[in-house]
Amino acid sequence: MPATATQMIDHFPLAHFERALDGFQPPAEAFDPQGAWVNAYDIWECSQGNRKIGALRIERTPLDARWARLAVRYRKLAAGGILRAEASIECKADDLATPIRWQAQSCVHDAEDKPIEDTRLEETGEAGERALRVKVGEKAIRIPAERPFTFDWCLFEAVQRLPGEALEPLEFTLIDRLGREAKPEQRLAFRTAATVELGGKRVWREEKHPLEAGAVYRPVPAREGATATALRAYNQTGRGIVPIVYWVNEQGRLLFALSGLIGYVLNAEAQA
Amino acid sequence: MSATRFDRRSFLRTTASALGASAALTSGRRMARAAETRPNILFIICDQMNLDAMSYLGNANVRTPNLDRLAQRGVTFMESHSTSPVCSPARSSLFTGRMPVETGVVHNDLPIRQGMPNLGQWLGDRAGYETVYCGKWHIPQGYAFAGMAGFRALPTGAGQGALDDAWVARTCEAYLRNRGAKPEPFLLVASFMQPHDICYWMLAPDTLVPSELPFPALKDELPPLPPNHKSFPDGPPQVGTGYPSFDTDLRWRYYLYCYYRMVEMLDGDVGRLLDALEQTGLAESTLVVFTADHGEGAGRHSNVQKWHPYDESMKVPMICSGVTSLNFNLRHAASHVGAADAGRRLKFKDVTPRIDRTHLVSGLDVMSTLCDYAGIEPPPNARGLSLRPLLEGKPTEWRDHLVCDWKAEGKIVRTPQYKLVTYANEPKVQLFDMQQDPWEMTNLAGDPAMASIIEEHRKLLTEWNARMEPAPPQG
Repeated sequence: MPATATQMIDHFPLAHFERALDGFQPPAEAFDPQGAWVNAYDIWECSQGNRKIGALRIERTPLDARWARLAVRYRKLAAGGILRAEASIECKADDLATPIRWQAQSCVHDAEDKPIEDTRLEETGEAGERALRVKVGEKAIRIPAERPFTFDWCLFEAVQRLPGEALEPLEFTLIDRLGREAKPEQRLAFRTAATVELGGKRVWREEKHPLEAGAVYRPVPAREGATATALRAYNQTGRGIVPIVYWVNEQGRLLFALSGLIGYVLNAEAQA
Repeated sequence: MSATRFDRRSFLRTTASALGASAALTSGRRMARAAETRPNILFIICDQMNLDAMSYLGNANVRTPNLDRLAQRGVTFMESHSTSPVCSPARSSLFTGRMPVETGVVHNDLPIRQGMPNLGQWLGDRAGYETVYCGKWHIPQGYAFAGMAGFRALPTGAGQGALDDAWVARTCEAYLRNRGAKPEPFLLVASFMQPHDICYWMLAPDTLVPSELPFPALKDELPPLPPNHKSFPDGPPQVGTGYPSFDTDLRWRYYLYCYYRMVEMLDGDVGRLLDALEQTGLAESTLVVFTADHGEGAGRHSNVQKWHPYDESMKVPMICSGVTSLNFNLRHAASHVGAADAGRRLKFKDVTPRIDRTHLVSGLDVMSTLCDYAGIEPPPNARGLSLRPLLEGKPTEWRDHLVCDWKAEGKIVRTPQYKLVTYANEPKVQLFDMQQDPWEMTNLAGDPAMASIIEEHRKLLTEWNARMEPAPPQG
C-alpha cells in the first residue's frame, strides 16, 4: 500500500461522502474475512443533504472451509414507518460468495413499529445451474440466471476475500433486490490501493500563495483528527446499477460500499 | 391555418370533448356495462424519465426488458406530454385530470386545491375501488403517508430511488400476493423515484461526475451525445434553467451512462410488479398504466433536469397494457379472485403491440381513462380524454391540440405539426416544426411566413386559458 496519506477528496467517490464520513473511526480490532464476524453499516443518503436512512448488519458464520452462512438484517426509514428485512443465505466461500440457498422476509412497520401484515413477504430460494428456484408463499417461481451469479449482499462478504491488485476481473450476473432481479453483465475489478486520511473532521486551513508582489492566503480543506488508513478499492459496474466502489482495509474488512447517492459506512453501533 | 390541419370546427369539436368529459366517448350504456366488469388497475408512475429511454423504442443505450414486456402487451403513445415539466404540478394533473393552474399546484410542494377530488377519492367513492398508494406522492408530502386523502398508504418511501424503489416494488408485490379474494377491484399506485436520482448529479457535479472518467473501463460503453446537444435556439430567457453545464463531452456521456442505469433499475422494479401480477393470476384482469411526471434534459440542448419547454422535459412515457389484448367485458368475472376459473382466462396470445405516433395525449387523460374503465364519469371539468377508444382501436374523434404549462407562467401549445412556446409578458416566443425538426433545433418564430401560424396557436391558447378555472394563489 502507498505510504503517503492522501485526502478523501482526492478519491472518487469518497469525496462525495466526505461529510458522511466525518468522525469515522477505522476499526482497530483484528479481522479474518474467512472467519466468523459481524459487520454493521449505517446507510447514508447524500443528495441535497447527508442523512442516515437505515442500517445493515451482516453476520458471517463459517460452516466449513467452503461454505458460510450470512445472517442479514436490514432496516430503512419510511414515511411514517419503518421497513425491516431479514435474510439467511448459505453461500460458497468463492470469489462471489455464490448463494446456494436462502430465505428472506420483509415487512413494513407503522409509526408505532407494528407490522402491516399485508406488506409481509416471505420467500425461500435455491440456486440451480441456470436459474433460481424461489418460493414465495406457496408459489414457485423460476428466475433465469446464468452462472456465475451472486446477490448484492453476498458481495459485501466476497469483496473482503479478494486479492487486491492480483484480482482478475470477475464477470457475473447480479441477483439484486433480495434475490429477485437478475442483472447481467456485471464486472467486479480492482480499482486502486491508497492510504487515505479517514474520519476526523473537515477544517479549513490557510495556504499561502506568493504573488509577484506579496501573497494571498487561500482556504484549503483538511481533516483534523483523521487516521491514515491503507485501503483497497474494487469497482462494480454493469446493467441496472449505478457503479459501486467497495473500500476494504488491509485486513480485507469492508469499510464502505459507495454508489451514486447511497453509501454504506461501517459502524459497529449501527442498529439494523 | 392549413399548415396545422385544423379549423374552427375541429377546434370546437376538441373543446366539446374536453369540456363535456368526452360524453360521446363514454356513453351511459358503456358506463353501466363497465361498472359490472371493472378491471383492477395498476398505475405505475416514475420520475424524470424520457419517453424514449426504452430499448423497445430502439434506444441502444439502455436495456429495459420489463418495460418492453409491458409495451408488447399494449399501446405506447409517442405523443405523450406532461402537463408541466415539474414533479408536483405534473402529479397534481395525473391525479385530478386538471391543469396545474386549476389544481393550484403551480410549483413543487403545494397541495391540491381543497375540494378537488383526487383519483383515489373518486374511484374509491364512486366506483368502489380499494385504493392503495405506495411510494412518491409529493403533493405536497414527499411520500405516501397514513391518512392521505383517497388512498390507503403503504409507507415505504423516505429517500431516493436507488434505495427506496426496491422496497416500493417489494411492498406492492406483497400487497398483490397477500390481497386474496375480495369482491372489489383495486387501484394500486406504485410510484417510483427512479430515474430521478439523476436530479442530484448536477447539484454535486464535481464529486459525482468528476473531470476524469471515474471508471475508465466504461469508456467504450458511454452513450453518444444527442444530435441537439449543442443546439441553443433563441427564445424567451426563461427557457434556460440556470443549472451549470458539464465542460467536456466525456462528463456528459458519463452522466448519460448513469441516467440509463437508473432507468434500468426502475425497469427491474417494474418487472417485479409484472411478475407478481402474472404469478397471482391477476395480469389478465388488470389494466396497467405506466407514465412519468416529466422527462429529463439528458444532454439535449445541453440540458439537465426538467423545467424547460423542450420535448426532453415535456414528453413522458405513456404505456397502457392489458387492454387491447383483453376483452374485459367478456371475461372479467373471475379475475378478482385470482382467476380461479382457468377455463375463462385468456392468455396474451392475441396481443398486438401498437405504437401510437399520432394522437396527442396528456397526463390529463389518466383520470378520464381510469374512470372510463371503472365505469364512472370523470370529475366535473376534468380536462382529459379517455384513451380507451384508442387502446381498443375504435374510431373516435380526438383533440387536435393540447396545452402544457412550464415554469408556472409559461405555456406551450402543441398541434400535430407545430409547438409554440410562450411565457407571460415576454414578447419572445419559440415555434418549432415538430415534423421537420423533432429535435427542436430551429426556432421559426422570426420567419414572417410563420406569423399566421403563431397567431393561430396564440388564439388556441387564449381560448384554452378562458376555459380554465384558476385556483387562488397559495404557498
